[in-house]
Amino acid sequence: MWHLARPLKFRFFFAITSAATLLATSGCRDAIENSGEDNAFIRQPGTKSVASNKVKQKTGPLLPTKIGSTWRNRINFRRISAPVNGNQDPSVDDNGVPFIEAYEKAVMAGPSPLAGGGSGVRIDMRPDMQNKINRTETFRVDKSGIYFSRIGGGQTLDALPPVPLITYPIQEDQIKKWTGTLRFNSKSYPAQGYIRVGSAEEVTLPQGKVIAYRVDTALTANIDGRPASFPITRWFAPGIGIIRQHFIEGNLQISKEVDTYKI
Amino acid sequence: MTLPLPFIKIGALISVTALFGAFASYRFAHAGQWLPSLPDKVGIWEMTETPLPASTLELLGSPKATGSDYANPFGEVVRASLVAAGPFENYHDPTVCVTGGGFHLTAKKNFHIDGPKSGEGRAMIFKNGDMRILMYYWQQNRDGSTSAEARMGNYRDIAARLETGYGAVVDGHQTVLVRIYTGIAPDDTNGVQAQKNVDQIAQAIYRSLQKDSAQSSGASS
Repeated sequence: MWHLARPLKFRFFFAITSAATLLATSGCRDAIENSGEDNAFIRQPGTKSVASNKVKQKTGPLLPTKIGSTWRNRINFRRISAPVNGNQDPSVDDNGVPFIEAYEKAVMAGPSPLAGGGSGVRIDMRPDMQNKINRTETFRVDKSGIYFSRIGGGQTLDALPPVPLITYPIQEDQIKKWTGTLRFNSKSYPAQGYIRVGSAEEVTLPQGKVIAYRVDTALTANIDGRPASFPITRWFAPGIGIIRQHFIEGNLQISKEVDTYKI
Repeated sequence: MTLPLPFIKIGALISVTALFGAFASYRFAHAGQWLPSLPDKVGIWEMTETPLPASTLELLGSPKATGSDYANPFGEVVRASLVAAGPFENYHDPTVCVTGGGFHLTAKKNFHIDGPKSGEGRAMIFKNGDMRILMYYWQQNRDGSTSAEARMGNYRDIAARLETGYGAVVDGHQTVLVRIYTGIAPDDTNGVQAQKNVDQIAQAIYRSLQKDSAQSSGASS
């Protein structure tokens, strides 16, 4: 019996002491190795996201042009300028008054002439419960892609030629350079810009989760020798259109997100 | 008059230890002499030199170091630093240093920096409230090899420390510690864009360091 048990015991203790020695000399690996609560934030470089594969199965135009299509957007404001009166809170205005969430209704108004010639489509926006249009956006939408052309409303901004936001076939992470003219009201300034179509990503809306392409645009105009930048990020979802926008106006960062839509 | 044998033995032992100590110090100092430059431009990213703060350098034992900010037209910034690694104190691991400022480590993963056959680095997420930082870290030897493990994190890193000592003293390794990091914007779902940005800069820096290694080995041969 002893002859049988001894080798077993020996092997057991040998294994235990060997493992302990190995741990002591090689260092215990942290429990967080290749894991952690934010594990989803780290991907192997070069791998495509799950959303990138999903978006290919989605159909429908990235900007539906059917007249009468509506999007109700929820609008949030945050102050980005240097603090005034020592108030560091970005959720209040310069007078310390909290920003209030607002809503607007965007409607596809239909064909509209482009500043440089040709035709595009115009989206009219009205503050909730009001009939007066306070902002318009005009895009050229054709087989080759979606191009930004004009912002109207209180002040107008025209891009000449229109800025290519998305060109087909879509190539994620592609960066395009644009050179042209930005016209504010009636004055023109030389400008250039970069447009980046990011990976498709999953965005959660009140009506459910959708897959959308994130498109970053950074336009810079040379105004009287000084560069003025106009960064804007838009998310385009197949069959729905622009579901989210982030841009800067004056000292405010404005975020719009689709609350409900009818295409 | 002759010294008793035990004294001679002790004296010899002390002399050998002192000589080894001097040699090791020299080799560690030599290990911290390599500080290559960072690329000026990476695609649409423009580099601006931003030296590491004096307090940081003091904490690291005042090594040779360089820091840079890479900014792109979309207003995104990726920060990179190289710290020449000589003595052990230069090797402060980010998992120890960064966590001092209210951040805690919430993810860690090893990966190949520039494709499957390239060197290994370590990606980490540090979180403080809603703020997250994505950081890549690796040790780059002048012979082109890399390693991603903590060399001075906690007591568990003893094997890695032995490796550091052996590499510097015996193999004569010269090493820089590479840190590349950026904040993850709140609208960047799962930090996808942040990681792409850090990937771009990391790959460019890795290639630049490999090139520097190849040139220096070519010059020495």
